[in-house]
Amino acid sequence: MKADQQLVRTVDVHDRVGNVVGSKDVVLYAGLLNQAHEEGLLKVCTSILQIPTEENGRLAIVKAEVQTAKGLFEAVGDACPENVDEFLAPHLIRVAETRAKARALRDAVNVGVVSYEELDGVSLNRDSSPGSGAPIAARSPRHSGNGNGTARSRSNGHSRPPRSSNGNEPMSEAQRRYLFRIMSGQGFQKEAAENRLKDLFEVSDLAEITKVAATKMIDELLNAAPGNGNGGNGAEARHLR
Amino acid sequence: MEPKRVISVSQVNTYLGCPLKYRFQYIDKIPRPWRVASMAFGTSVHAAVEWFHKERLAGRTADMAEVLKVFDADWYAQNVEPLVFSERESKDSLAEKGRAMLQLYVESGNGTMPVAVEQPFELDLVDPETGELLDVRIRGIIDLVEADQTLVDLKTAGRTLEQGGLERHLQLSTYALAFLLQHGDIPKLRLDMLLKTAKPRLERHPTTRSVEDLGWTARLIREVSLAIETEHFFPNPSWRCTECEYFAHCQQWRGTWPDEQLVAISDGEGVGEIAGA
Ligand code: SF4
Repeated sequence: MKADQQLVRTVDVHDRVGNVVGSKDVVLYAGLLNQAHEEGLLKVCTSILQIPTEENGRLAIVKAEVQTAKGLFEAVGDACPENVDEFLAPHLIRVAETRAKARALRDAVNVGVVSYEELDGVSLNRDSSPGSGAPIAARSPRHSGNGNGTARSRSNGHSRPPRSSNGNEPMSEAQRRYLFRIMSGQGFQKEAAENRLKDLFEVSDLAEITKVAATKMIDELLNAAPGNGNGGNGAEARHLR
Repeated sequence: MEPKRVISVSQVNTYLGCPLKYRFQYIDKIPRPWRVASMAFGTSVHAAVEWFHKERLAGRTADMAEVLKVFDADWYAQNVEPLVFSERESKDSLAEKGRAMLQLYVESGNGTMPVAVEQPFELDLVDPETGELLDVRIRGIIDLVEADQTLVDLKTAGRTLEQGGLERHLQLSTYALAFLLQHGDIPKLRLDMLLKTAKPRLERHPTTRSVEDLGWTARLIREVSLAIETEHFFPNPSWRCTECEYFAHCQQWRGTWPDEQLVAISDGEGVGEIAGA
């Protein structure tokens, strides 16, 4: 697809200690935004669905709405200290917002390739042409290492700090509460909600649900809710605010 | 340049309650093997109140049945993982109490419209008395801002405030400090307490702070931040130990608890005994 070809960049994929273990095609937020403008972008707005607190594991969830001549597109983005670079941890709401906007923009301009801003554990290849550059500037500290040798530093001097997350951690308490709220908005209460969630995730116990799977499901449920770009009245999203 | 340390109001409160618990929770990041039911209950009530005010903020009439639905869904979700109840409480009794408390809260509205709900702030800490920049950032979330610029904190509790509790309330002091640093005035403050008494009660406690109070608050936060930076993590045994999720880890820290028992407790076994210890 033409749009994909113009927007796509190749990025390095790192393991938990910063070694490059592969590469992946991604699109950049700036490129998506340009494309959306070309396609008649009318509005981009966001609302915070969950503010990060100590009680919810500092998980920020933001919903974005993108309106173009083709219609209204909604998506959610999340960010918590485990899925952002260490230096971005104080800015979780902003990261979640960028991720939500990137996902909504991808739907709006019909790009199937995941965006750079949605990912954790990747960096742009040195020889990759960087688009309009904003993401590179924002991410440059990843290459600088900490190197100050203080006892409190969690950086190991590699190009990337070690990660505490491997994507298989169980869903957070906040995600679980959030999913039950969505279920309630869909008319499933208590045990019925629990059973519905087990069916949706194809698990026999909610403890088997991972953080990553929960994030995807929340996104899907909100996207399937009436009132978004896919048609309907937004009852669930409203119920969650 | 190293980014400035950012500290939240709840971190400061946790550290002041018990520095060792702070270490277990925020530095070692030990998953809580269980939670005290009253804390989870407060969070569910809070979620429903937040939803109620957000509906009002959006210009919609918040329906009581919908408020209760939010509470029920949240409380059910909280109970999916192990909660430790006091002898007098159970999942069902608290569900009933929560519904009654929310009914009371919604019906006793003071008519003032919210202008912000769950408003986050994060800013460089400054001593308002001297203007000194204190080398730490503070962040928090204000439960409710009313149209007359009253900043409100909502708490659920088993009993009313102790003497001096309102003046010492760190969350309200930090709200006021953040407001002063952002807007240059000291706001009105209020602590709304929903009491889990046999017949639920709602108490509204208005208060305010002086610049001297807020200077003290800023310096207190700076000192806590420095103590954390320099790794001063010692136990502070108190009534809080009876509901501390890290009781077993604390015993191990003292060296009086065998490792096997710690593993069993971390897996959720024997939490009743721990909570009542
Ligand atoms: S049991 Fe008591 S002293 Fe030990 S960590 Fe918990 S609150 Fe602190």
